[in-house]
Amino acid sequence: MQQSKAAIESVGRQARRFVYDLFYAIGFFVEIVRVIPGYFAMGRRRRGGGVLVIQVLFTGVQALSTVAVIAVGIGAIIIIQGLSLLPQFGQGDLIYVILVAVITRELGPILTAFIVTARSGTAISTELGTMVVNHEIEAYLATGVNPITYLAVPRLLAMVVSLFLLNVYFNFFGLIGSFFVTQIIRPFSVQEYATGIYAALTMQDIFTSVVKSVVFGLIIGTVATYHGFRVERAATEVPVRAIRSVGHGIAYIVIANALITLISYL
Amino acid sequence: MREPEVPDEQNAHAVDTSAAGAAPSGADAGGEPVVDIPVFEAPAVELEAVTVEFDDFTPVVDASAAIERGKTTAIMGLSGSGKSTLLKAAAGLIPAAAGRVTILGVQVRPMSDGDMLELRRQVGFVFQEGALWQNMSIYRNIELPLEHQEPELTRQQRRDRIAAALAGFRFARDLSLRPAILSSGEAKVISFVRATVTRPEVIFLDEPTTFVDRSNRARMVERLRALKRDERTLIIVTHNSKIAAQLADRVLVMADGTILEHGTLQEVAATDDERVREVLHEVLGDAIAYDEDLLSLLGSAEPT
Repeated sequence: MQQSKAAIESVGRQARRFVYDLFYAIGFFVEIVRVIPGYFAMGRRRRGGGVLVIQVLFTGVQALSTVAVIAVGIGAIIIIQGLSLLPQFGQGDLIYVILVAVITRELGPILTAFIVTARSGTAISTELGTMVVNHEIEAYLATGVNPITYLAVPRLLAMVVSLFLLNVYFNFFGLIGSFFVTQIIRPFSVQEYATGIYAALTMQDIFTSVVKSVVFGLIIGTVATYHGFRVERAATEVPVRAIRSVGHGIAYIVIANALITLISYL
Repeated sequence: MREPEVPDEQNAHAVDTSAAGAAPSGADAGGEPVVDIPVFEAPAVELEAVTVEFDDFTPVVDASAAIERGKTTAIMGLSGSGKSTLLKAAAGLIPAAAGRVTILGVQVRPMSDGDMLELRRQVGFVFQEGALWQNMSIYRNIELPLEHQEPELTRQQRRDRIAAALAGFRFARDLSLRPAILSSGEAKVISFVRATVTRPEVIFLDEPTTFVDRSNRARMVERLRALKRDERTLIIVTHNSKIAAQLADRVLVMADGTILEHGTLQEVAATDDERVREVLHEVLGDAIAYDEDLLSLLGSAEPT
């Protein structure tokens, strides 16, 4: 009896905490969106414009090689498998539709989002969490600098810009780079390939891909900064928050991806 | 900024009608000017039944105090008595779970960004740990508050202000480096300079002289005296009895998260409250024999 009461209390506490965290996170996101105009209204120097550039470099440029390798590898696998299997069913031309659907609409946005979550999401949560522990956030407050405007907004914007650019890179390497890799194993006409891709690629594919990368960027930026700021006092909270940042980020990305895909096919 | 809070009779001052913020209540029906209208000036900082709660403990319980403008208040107490938390709550840096905090007559939290910046122009905070921003240079640590609070200053004017604020301190480091290279004492000096370079009306100082070497400590005390002469409000958490004796007009004694006593040095020294006597004896123990001659020693002590 005592044990079941304790179990119910524990569930109740966790449910209350979940609801509290959810509303806190929503309020946090609303606050970031609210201060974005104020961020742009400040001069470049006052808003710490360098932070945005550095974050794009770290998130976007430094992740290029990882994204390129994964994109070329996956693109090549799809082409090789498609060219081997589809002609057996008389559907050889479907390879281009599959390639575009997988690379442009699905894997491009979601894999780049996973890579960025793992690399930069954790880095942002850790950095901000450490700043909380070192009282640097309080120092911003004490000097009248809004930490949301000064720290969260540039990181969020950098995430959106980086995700968009990495998605473009992923598509480039996934669609073009993989063709050249495939030539080593199974050569076929470049003209045939280009015509097939051009015929399969629609504006809706591109639009869906862009929407996903922007939404995923917003999710990663919000979740990472949220968990960073949620560190309270102890250094031991920092890695805990970083791990939660990755877990929550990936979960929200998968949910958002499913919703956007669903809507795009309606 | 919001309108000042309603008056506290203890802080009433008679001022000329031309003074900014003068109350119109003294004018007669015909609108003729009346001299010496009593105007009530809000305290620099006012705490009303403030309680601060963290997840697992309550460091400050039901704290009330009014800190007079232009005066220096020393917050004293044993380690873990809630002094630093009270200071941060008083500065509006951490939220109160209950109660109300007003600074210069303006209630903090909730507060718009614009009001917050306006208020922060008049408030400085020296952190116990320095709390320097590690992702920017030492110079930028001092420049950022100036840039945000006084955007009209040119780069050269900011440079001059920073040079003036650093003048007299023994600080040989390259200001373009990151603060990670600084010792605790050096970080404290930069934190002090960062908080005072904007010339705020109210300055909160959390153990400002701890870890600071002798010459820089003397320079810091000299600065604090100058600020005191300039009628800035200083609120200092300190364990250094000599600093407190040299600077404090009033003492606030804390234990277990509550304010035990708040008054002038004479009032606090004359208390019959055993807990206050115990705290003072512990805190001031090294410097004085509290029971024998506290006041004379407080008056003659020199800062180290």
